[in-house]
Amino acid sequence: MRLIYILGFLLVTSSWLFSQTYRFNEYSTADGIAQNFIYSINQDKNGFLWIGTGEGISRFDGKEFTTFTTSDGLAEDIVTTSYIDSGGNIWFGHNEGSITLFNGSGFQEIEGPDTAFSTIKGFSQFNNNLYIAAQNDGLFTVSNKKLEHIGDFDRGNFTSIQTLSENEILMGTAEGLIYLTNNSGNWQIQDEALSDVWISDLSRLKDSSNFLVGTQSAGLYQVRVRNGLIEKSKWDSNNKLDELMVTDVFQDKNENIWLSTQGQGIIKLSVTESEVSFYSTSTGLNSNFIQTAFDDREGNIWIGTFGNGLVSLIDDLFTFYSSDLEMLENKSVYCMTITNGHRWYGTEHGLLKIEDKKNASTFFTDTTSWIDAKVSSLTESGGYLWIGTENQGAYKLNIETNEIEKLLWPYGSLQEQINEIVCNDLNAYIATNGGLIIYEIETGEHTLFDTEAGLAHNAIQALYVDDDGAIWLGTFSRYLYAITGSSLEEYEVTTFGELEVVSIDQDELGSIWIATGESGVYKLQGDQFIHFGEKEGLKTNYCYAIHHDSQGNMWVGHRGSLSKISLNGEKITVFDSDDGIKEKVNRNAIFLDDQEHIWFGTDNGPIRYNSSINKVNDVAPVINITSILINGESHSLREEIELPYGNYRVLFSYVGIAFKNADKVSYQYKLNGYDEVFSDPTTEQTATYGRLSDGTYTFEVIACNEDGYCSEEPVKFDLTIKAPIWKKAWFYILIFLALTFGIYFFVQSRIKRINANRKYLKEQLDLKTREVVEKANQIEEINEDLTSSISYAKRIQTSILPNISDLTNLLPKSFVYYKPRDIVSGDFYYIDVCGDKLIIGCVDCTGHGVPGGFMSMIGSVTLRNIYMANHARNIWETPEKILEKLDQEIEHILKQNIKHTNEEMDFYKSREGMDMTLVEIDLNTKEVLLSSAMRTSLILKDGVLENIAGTKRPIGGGDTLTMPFELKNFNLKKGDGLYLFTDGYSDQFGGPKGRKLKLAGVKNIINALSAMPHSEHENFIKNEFENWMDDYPQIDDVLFIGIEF
Amino acid sequence: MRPLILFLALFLSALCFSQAVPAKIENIPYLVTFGKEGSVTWGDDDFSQSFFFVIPKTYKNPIYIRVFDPGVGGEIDERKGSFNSKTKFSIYGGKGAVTNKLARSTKPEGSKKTGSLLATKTFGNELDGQWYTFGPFNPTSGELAPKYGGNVFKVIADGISGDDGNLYKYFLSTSPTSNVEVEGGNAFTFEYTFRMNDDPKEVSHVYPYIDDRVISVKQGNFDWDNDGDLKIVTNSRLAIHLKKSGEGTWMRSEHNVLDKEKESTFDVQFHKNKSNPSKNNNITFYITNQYDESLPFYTIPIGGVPKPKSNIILTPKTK
Repeated sequence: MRLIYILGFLLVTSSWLFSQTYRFNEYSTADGIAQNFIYSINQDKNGFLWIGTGEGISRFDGKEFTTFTTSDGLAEDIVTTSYIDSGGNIWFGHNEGSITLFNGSGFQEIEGPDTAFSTIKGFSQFNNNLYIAAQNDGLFTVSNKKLEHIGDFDRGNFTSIQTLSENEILMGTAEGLIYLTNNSGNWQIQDEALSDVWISDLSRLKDSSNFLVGTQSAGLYQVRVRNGLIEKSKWDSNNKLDELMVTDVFQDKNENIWLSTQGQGIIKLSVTESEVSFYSTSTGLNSNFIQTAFDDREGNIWIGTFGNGLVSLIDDLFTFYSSDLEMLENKSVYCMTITNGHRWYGTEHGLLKIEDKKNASTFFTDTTSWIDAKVSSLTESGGYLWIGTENQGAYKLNIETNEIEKLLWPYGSLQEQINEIVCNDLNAYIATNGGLIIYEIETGEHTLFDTEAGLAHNAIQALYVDDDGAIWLGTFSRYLYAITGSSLEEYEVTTFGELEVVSIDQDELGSIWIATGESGVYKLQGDQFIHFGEKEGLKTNYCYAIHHDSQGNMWVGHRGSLSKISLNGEKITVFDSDDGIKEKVNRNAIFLDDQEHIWFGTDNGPIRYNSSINKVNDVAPVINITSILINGESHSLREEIELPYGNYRVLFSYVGIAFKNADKVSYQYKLNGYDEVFSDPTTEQTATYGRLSDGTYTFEVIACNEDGYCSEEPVKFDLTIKAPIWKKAWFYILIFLALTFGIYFFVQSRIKRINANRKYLKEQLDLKTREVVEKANQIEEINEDLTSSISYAKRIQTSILPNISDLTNLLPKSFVYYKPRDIVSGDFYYIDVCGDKLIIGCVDCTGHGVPGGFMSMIGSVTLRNIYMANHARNIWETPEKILEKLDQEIEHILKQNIKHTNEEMDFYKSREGMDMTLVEIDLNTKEVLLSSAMRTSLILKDGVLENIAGTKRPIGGGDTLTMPFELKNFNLKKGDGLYLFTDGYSDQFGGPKGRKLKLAGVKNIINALSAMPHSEHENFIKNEFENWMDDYPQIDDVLFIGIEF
Repeated sequence: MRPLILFLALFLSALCFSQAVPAKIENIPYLVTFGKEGSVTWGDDDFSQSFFFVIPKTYKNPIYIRVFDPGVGGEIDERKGSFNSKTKFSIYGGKGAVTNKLARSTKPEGSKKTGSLLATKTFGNELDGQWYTFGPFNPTSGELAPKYGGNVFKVIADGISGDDGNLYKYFLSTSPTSNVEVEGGNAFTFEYTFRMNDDPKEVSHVYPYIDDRVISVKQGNFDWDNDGDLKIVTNSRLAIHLKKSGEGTWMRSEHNVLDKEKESTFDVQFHKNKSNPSKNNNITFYITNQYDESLPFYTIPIGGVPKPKSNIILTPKTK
C-alpha cells in the first residue's frame, strides 16, 4: 500500500480543552419514537426522516413520529440499516438478515432464492445494481426484487459496503478492508488493506472517488482504489482519533466530517476551519454512544444514540460557555472581551480570565489582590484592560503583568458608578451615573461632562464612539446626545415619554442604533429615527444590548431570547427557546470578537454566536398532504377520491417538512373549485371545508420556511364529488325524452281514453237512447192510453157540461169562453133553467187536468143533484143556500168533514174544493141573485163596471170557515151585463212584462166590449186572452162567462 | 420457620448476585480460558468459553456486559512463563446466537460464533484487576429465545494467542461504569471452565436445569485431577456420585433422572480433597441429556437450589 497524500488537517489544541456546550433537541420514546436505540437515519424525497430502531421504523415529520413494525409489513422489527436508492425506494436491513423495501405506498419483504441469516450491515447502489452486506453471509445483490447471494469470500463479520463502479465494491470487515471486482459474474477479492482493523463504516467523500474509513480504535482513514489496488492514508490528526470506537462516518454538505463513536459521542472535523468539535455528554449531548448520524436536506445534523433516542443538533450557531464559570456560584456575565485568545468576563464579584491554551483560569477579586466588585464594563486598549465597576470606580489592568491600577478623579460617588468604558488611542470615555468622564490615557487628566454641559441627565447608561469620533451618549431621557468636537448635539428620539437607552452601536453602513429598556430599538437614519418593536417582529420591546455582526445584521439581546434585525430593516429573526436560547442577556453585555463571533453575556455565562455559519435557510420545506378526513372518516391518499353526491365536511391535513424551526413553517392553501385565491399564511396544518357539494376540486398547499423560502410547486390532491343525477346531461336528455314520450303517451292515452269514453258514451247513449226510446214508446203508449183515457174522460166531462145554447137561447148576447189547460178541465160551467129561473154557475175546482176533471165531475154532478133534489121536494133555494149545500155535499163526498183522530190520516185527507160563482136570473124580472165562493165577478150596470166580491169561503176543502155565503141581488136591464170568470183568466202571465193580467186587466177588456157588437164579444175575450198570453204557457183552466142583457 | 428463612436467604442471595458470572451462589472464583498455545492438561479443553446472558423481553433499556480483568497479566491470571497471551471477547446476538446447535456444543471442534457479532475486543496484558465494559446493547438485538427466558446475548472468550490462563468474571449490568444488575436477567452456559478454590473447605456448585424431556443425564468433567469428590444433589437425592477425571483427561458417567427430578435444578457440587488439595486447579464440566444435548447451567438456579427431603429430625434441646 502506498501512501499517496496526507491531508493537512491540524487540530486546534485549544478546541480539545474548550468546555463550551451546545444545545440539542432530544426525541425519545416519550415523544413517540419506537425505541431509544437508533440504528439508522435517512430522509426520503418527501422530506420525512426514517428512523430505524430496535422496535421498528419511526417516520418523523418534524413534529410527530409514526411507527411501522412487522404488523405493518416490516420483515423484522430491528432495523439495522437503511438506504434510499436512485428511484426513491427505501431499503431496510434487519438484524436477522431480512430486507424490507418501502416503495412509497407499502412495505414488502425481499425474499430469495437466497437468504441472509445475519445482520444486514449496509446497502450500496451503482446504476441500477443494489448490493448488500450481511455480517456473516457476505455480499448479496437484489435482482427483480429477489435476493441473490454473491459470496462470502472466506471472510466473516462484514460491516459495511460501498460500490465504486458496476464491477467494483469495497467492503469493510472486522478484519480489514477488501476490494472486490467482478470478472464475468465472478466476484473475487482483488486487494485488501488495513488487515486486523475493524472497519466499522465506509463513506464516500463529497465529489470524490475517495472514501472515508471509520475503524474501531485504529483511527480514521481515507482510501481510494487506483490501478486495482487500495490506496490508503491515515487522517493526520493527533492520536486521539485512534482511541475512538467509530461506529459511523459521513461527510456533510459543508464538507465537515462527522464521526459517531461508541463512548466518545460524536465528533465534527471541520476541514474548512481546521477545528474539531466534540459533542458528548460533557458538551450537552445526552449520550456518548452514537450509532449513526445523518445530515438532512437542510443541513441539520441528526444523531442516533444507542439507548437515548434521537438527537438533533440545533445548528451550532450558538455555543454556550457556562462551564467557563463553573467555579463561580454566580455565573452571570455583565461584560466581556477577548485579548490574545483569553476570555475576560466581568462577573458579580470580580474579573475572570480564561486561558484555553493553559486550560487555566484566573479570578480577580478581593481574595486575589483586587476587590470584590461587580464588573460592569470591559474594553481593551493600549495593552490595558479598562475595567468599569458598578460602584467602585474604574481600573486599568496590564494585560501582560496582570497589575491593576485604579483610575482616580476627585468627583463624587456617582462618578464611581461606571456603566461603560470606551477607549480610543487618546482617551478613555467613561460613562458613569454622574456624567461622562473623559480620561486622557497618556496624562491621566480627566474632564467631567454632565448636565451643566447640557445633558438631560447625568446617568450615562450607554456610550459609543463612532467612526468619526463622535461620542454618543444615552441617558434616562427621550434624547440621544452626540458630542462632536466641542459641540453637543441633541436628538429627540421620541416626542413623548422618556427612554432608557441601554446600549448604542453603529452598523456597518454608519447608522446609529440604540436599544432601549422598554421601547425596543431605534435606528437613526439621517435625521429620522426608525423604530423596531414587537409590532415589527422584535421578540420583545425590553432590550438589554445591541451590536452588529459582520453579516449585515444588528443583534438585540433580551431575556430568554435574541432578535436579529437585518440592516435594511426588512427582516427580523428571533432566536428563543426553540433555538436553545433560554438565558437572560445582561445590560450592554455584548461583544464582537476578531473572528466575527458575537458574544452575549447572560445570567448563565456567555453565549457565542458564530455569524460565519449563519446563513439563510434557502431550503424550502417539502410539503406533503398527510391525511384527508371526509365526514370524519380517513381516506387513502394514494388515489384520487371520488365521492357520491352529497354535502361533505372535508379536512385536509398537511405538513411542510422543515426540521429547522419546524414550528415556524407557514402554509398557504387553496381548494380549486371552491376558493378563488390562496389563503393567508398560517401555521395551522389543517384546512377544513364545511360543506362541499358536487364538483371537481383540487386542493393545493404550499409551505414556506421561516426565511420565506417556499415550495416551488404546491402539492395537489384531486377530489371529486359526483353531481346529482339531475345535474347530468344524460339526465336532462333522459328527462327530455321522458317528457316527450310522457306527453306523447299521455296524449295517446287521453285520446285512447277519450275514444274509449266516447265509445262508451256512445254505447251508453245508444243504450240510453234505446232505453229512452223504449221508455218513450212506453210513455207514448201510456200517454196514448192516458190521452185516450183522458180524451175519453173529456168526452165524459164534455158530455156532462150543459149546452151553452141553453144560455144563449135565453140570453142571446151571452157567451161562454171555455179553455181547459189540459184535455180535461178543472173549470166547468153550470147552466140550468128551472121555470123562469136561469141558473148559471162558473166553477173553478182546485187543480186542473185529471184531478180538476174529477173535481169538476163531482162539483157538476153534486150541484145538479142539489137542484134536482130541491126540485123533487119542490123546494127552491137561492144561490147562497145552494152553495151552502154544495159545500156540505162536497165535504161529505170527499170525507172532508170527518175529523180524524190520526194526525197522519188527517194530514193526508183530501183538501180539494172549488171556487165558484152561482147566479140565479129571474128571466121575467131580470133580477139577478148572485152568491160567490171566493170568486170576484164583474157587473156592468148602466155602463158602469163594478166588482162583486165573493164570500171568502171556498166550497169544500175542509176549511173550518163557517161564514155564510153572501147573496147579492141586482136588477139588470138591457145593456147591462154580468161577467163570471175563473182565476185562470185573470192570473194568466203574459203581456209585454210577463205579469198577471189581474182583475184590472179583465175589467179593461170588459170595458172594451162596449165598443163592439155582442157577436164579437166572445172572440174578443178569447183573442185578448190569447194575445195577453202570447208565448207564455197557460197556467190554469180558463172559464169566462159573459151574461149580457 | 427455619426452612423459610433459609429459602429467603438463598433467594435474596441469588437476586443480589444474579448477574455476576460466576455467581456468588456458585462459589467459583473465576472463569478461566487459556491461550490456544496452552496445554489442555491445564484444565481448558478448547481454549474458549461461551457464556449466555438472558435479558427479560420486557426490559427495554441499554444493557452492558462487563468483564473483570479481561487482560492476561497481573496477579489474578495464571502465568505460564512470561505473560504472552491475548484473549478476545466477542459479543453475539441475533438469530442463532443460542438456538443454533453449534452455539450449545460442548465439543472443542466447530465454531460457536453463531449469531451476529455485536462487539469484540482483544486484550493482552492490560486492565489487570479492572472492569471493561461492552455496550451499550439493545436488549432486542439479542436472540429472542423464550425457552431461555428472553433475549439472549452470547459472550465468547477466545484465547487467541499465548499459553497463559486468563481468569476473569462477567457482570450483566445496566450501567457502563458499575455493576447494576438487570432486573430479571440471568446467565447460563453449556460448558463450564472455571478455577477451583484452593481452600479445601470451599465447595463449588454449578446448577444444570433438568427439563421434562430428560430421562438420564451424562456428565463430563475434564482435568479434575482427582481433587476430591464430585456429586449431584437433587430435590430427591442427597448425592449422586460422579466419575472423576484425572490430569488432562475426560471422565464421563451417566445417571438416571427420576420423574420428580424433572423440571428442576441439579446442584453439581465440587468437593476438594481435604488433604493435599490441588492448587490452581481448573476444571471443565458439562452435562447433557440422553440425546447428547447440552443442558444449561444457570447462575440463578431455576426453581432455586435443590433441597432433598431430610430424614434428620431436629429435636429442641431440653435442660
